[in-house]
Amino acid sequence: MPRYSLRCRSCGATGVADDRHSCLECLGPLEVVYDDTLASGRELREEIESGPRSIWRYRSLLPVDRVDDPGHVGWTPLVRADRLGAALGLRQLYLKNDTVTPSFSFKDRVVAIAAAKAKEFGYDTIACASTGNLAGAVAAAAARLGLRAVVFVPAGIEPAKLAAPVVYGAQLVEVTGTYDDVNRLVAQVADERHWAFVNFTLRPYYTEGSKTLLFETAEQLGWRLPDAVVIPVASGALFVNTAKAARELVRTGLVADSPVRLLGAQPEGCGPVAAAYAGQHQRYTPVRRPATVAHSLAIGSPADGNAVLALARSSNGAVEAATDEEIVEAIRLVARTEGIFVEPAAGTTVACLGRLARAGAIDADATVVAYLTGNGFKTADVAVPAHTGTIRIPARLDAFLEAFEGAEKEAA
Amino acid sequence: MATIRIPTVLRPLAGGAPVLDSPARTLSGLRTDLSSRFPTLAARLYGPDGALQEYVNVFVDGEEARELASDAPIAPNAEVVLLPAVSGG
Repeated sequence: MPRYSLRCRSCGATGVADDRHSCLECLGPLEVVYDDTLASGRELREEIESGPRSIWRYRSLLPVDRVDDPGHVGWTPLVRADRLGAALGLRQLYLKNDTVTPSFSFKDRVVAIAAAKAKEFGYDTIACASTGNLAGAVAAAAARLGLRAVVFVPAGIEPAKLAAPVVYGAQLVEVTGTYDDVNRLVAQVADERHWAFVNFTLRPYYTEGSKTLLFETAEQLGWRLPDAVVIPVASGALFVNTAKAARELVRTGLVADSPVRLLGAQPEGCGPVAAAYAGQHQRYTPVRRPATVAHSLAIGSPADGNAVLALARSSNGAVEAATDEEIVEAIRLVARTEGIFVEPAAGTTVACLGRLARAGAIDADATVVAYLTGNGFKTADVAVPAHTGTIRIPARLDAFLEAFEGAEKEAA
Repeated sequence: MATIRIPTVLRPLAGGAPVLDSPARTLSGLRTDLSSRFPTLAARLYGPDGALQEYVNVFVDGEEARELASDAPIAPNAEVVLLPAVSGG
């Protein structure tokens, strides 16, 4: 008896867990649902705690039958962030630090699940449409699992994000246009090539990997749910699956049932969901020409955007937007207070958290977790200030003393 | 004639064809054409009010039809692409 099956999120039709990606009845998106006879409570907690220090410790709650991934994905630090918290007026702030995964973004989690399924289904090629991080994650996973990778990105993304897939050995396809144009092309390519498109044809499995951020967070907090989670919103899948993870943690008795406020973060230059939230609309209006430093979040037609709106409202949460200036300032703030260099998507998360905290929308004593989903070294140019204060001197002590004292006086 | 590209998942509803030709010159004309020749396909694409179903996307030469008026023109050599809603991200 299979542990899980696929169910349409729109019409509820169910089917076996194969590699179909949309509902045969209504074309709606599919999600994985688990058998109610899953292990639960203390038995499941012991199984998890004795498992590997990676996402695979939660394999009972993931749709994978065979794990043979040599990569170390997941179990990233949950950092108590008192210095950043003081700056934002929050006394119980934690950062889920996914800047330190194998390809330096949380996308390694979702790709690990999708790549495992691709192998189970017998594919030899994995592929994706990506704003950059996913391309790196797909290429890295393909390399370590012996698969071929083909990655499609919009032309003009950061050079470091273009370099990584090539170095990992993937075929890189740069497409003139926006991410949404790339996505449309990929949907057509999927009909022409028998490849596993991790975020399209294997999407029901891929998105399940997003749950592991909250699974880990809850375990690292001592098996309890936080009061609020701040989540960057691109397609919205991470947001929707954080809610799913909370439900599964409660249903399996791993944590007590307690409300979790789901707080979404978008850049103003591509914030269709935040705009709909602010305008009290039920559905978002697509952004045709995204314009933001947060390229990872530059999805004008987020697939789960309307689901994010509904969940933000039902969880007493919010969807906030931040300007590019606020995003860059937030990157520097996290770096200077906590020693973590994040990319603009995570800068967006912290900038929006700051906005909500300043507006009094978050209790100062609430346990708040912010997801830091990507590493700033991929996008370093964004965060470097125009005036760095760097001192350049000949290798002589007097030169150092003179220049350093001058710099200190200037700083004072 | 405009060319209509049919995704794999919808081909059984279009007689198995990956590509169809259509004489339609507007979006509403496309709906009328498909409804007369492939009513099951049309029912999957359009609701009773004639609006596109939520999880279907139609692109006319790269423009998303959902954003266009029903009398928006379809050029004689246009490429119309039908797709299940694309997730991505």
